[in-house]
Amino acid sequence: MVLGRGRLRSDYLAQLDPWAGVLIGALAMVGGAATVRLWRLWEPSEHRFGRGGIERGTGRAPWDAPPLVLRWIYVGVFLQLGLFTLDNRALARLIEAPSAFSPGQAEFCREEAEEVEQAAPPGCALVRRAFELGYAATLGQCEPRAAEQVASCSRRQRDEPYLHYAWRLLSKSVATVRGQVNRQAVQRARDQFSRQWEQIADLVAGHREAVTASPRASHHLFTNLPRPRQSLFARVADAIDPGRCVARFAQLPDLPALRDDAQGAASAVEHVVGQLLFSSRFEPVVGLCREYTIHWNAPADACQRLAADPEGFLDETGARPQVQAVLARRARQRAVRGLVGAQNAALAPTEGTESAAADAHVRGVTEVRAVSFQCFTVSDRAEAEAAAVVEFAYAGHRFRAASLSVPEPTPGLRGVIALYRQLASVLAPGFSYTALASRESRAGRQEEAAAFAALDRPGYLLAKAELLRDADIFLGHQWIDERADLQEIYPYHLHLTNFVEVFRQRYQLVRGRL
Amino acid sequence: VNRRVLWLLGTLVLAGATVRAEPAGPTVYERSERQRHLVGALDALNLVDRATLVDVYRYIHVVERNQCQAPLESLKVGCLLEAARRNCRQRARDRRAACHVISDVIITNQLSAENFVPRRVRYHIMRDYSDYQPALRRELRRRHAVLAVEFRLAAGERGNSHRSVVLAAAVDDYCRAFARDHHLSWQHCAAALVWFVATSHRQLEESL
Repeated sequence: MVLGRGRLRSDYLAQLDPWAGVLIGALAMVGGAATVRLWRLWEPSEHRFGRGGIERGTGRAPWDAPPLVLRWIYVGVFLQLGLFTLDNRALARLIEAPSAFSPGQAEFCREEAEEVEQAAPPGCALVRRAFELGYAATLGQCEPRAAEQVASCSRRQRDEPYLHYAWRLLSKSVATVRGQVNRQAVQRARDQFSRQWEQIADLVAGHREAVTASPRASHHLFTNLPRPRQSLFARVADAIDPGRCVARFAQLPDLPALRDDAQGAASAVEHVVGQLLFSSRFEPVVGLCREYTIHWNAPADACQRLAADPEGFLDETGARPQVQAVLARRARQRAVRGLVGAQNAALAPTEGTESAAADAHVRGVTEVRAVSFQCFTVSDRAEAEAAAVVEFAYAGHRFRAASLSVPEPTPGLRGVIALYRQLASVLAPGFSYTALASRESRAGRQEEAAAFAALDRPGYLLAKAELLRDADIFLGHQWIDERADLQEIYPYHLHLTNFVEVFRQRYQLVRGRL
Repeated sequence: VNRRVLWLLGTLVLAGATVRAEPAGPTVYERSERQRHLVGALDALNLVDRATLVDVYRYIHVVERNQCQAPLESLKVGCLLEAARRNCRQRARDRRAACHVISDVIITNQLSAENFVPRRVRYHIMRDYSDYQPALRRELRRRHAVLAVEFRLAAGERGNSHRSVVLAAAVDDYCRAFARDHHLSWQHCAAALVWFVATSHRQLEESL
């Protein structure tokens, strides 16, 4: 069911190769039609289910669905089958199949001429020609080396029968196995197996988590804002398909409209968080929306309560199972990595962006980047922003929850921009956006004033609008906030893209996934 | 008579209050002004003679490639505006207004060329053609044409209108929405559409 739902998702279908769609459709139509024809499903049934099982010849005609309906049912069955079995990778392999079956040039030993051509350093053809004509006394560096001359080829000869070649391969394999199977090797394998057997639960759980794509991170944002209103359809769709949020956040407009009420602020917060973390319009995507939870209607002192009683507060907010699952997965990954040992450490699955350097030990307990807590409180009593960081330990790990208390957002562009900056600083501690990070190329206040003055004068409206491309609203520029006419044509996409990308660079350093 | 005087006085007071209640500050870029400017540009490009159009285009092209090269975008824009004003002041009084509007469209198209033709495509064209400027112009025109087709499909009847007022309104609305959804600045979109729609029947390519 999980697989089926995944394959019917709109974003999955959208990325499917058109040829895969054609093949799946053809399979459904041909398979459905063939099944109906071969099983003669248009004929009335001779058997029916009765009290004693399958009965025949009871005198009553059994009820059959109309042939057209049966046909479409089988088309649907084959369509599902096609969707499950044929994806872009399968299609690519099907296309490559003919070349995989034909014997490649690399399977045969090279001809002598080819060998010489291949082994010769670049430019040797001219030297050899000169040697042949007598213009050079020696071949010098182009002289074939002794090792190359005697090197034998163990691959199939061009005139060698296939059975002979197969016999050679078999005898070579037997010789290799004989050489490797000895007492020490058996003992080594036995030790490795017993070590793996001891960790079998972790290994099985790891595979299960990989197959079911269970969350690799658990990030929580607590806010006292109310849950934004959603249509009934959106709520039902979100509940049925949590992965739908990816498509939803990819289609967000540039900036949210900030209405003058708590619902408006909540919608704007959701919009900004979606753009900062999940929107695929910006590179790189740093989070999966199903691994993030915004806890609406949280208490204003959420972070303090979290620090005072982490277990109780996480239970109360329902975040504990998600956090525990990620911490347990992390512990299992560590155990499996230890099992593989130093020899295979490079090949073992790494913890994503959670590098060893960042995995610093703080006061004897580990800080986990894949689990984080943030608090964003909007208060009508606050006059200025107040940031704080609370530290606490939970389940043997150290956490730092960033907390920011802000006044009620001002409706309009200024409020929206402030929201971006505030949420960015809460989500990625240490983030700052200055003129150095901006794409704005202004020289100073005088130039800004000159640009503003030029925009006031009539004429050359198109060319002068270029000046707006050089004014980054994320750096201030109050004059744009005061001009509704300029806001209608302001190229938000330019500076928003830069802001989000700079944020994501910072975010990747401080937060991540397993 | 007294009633009439009172009614007149009341109307005047209301009108004064309305004027005072309007938001302060310039509104050069409000919708009606933008559309008026685009109407002016469409009319000027349709009515101006071919020689003037080619002359203004070439002048701005040369200035942009030579004396207006600047590391700061604002300086470059300022330089181009000043050069265009100077050029238009030399023309006959009755043609100055049209010259300014046409120059505005051409400058904006010059500045947006890099957004329409990405650096990679530009590099390929410069590599493949010894005289690459005509090829670059053709590629730019092709991309403007794609935008114009999308505009015609999206704007429907308004996009096909022969009345410049209707067409300008459609261009403005489309470019505002397009800028939001496709990450193209309003002025780049509007200048490209106005230029393409107004000059597509003139076969200017060979003359530029």
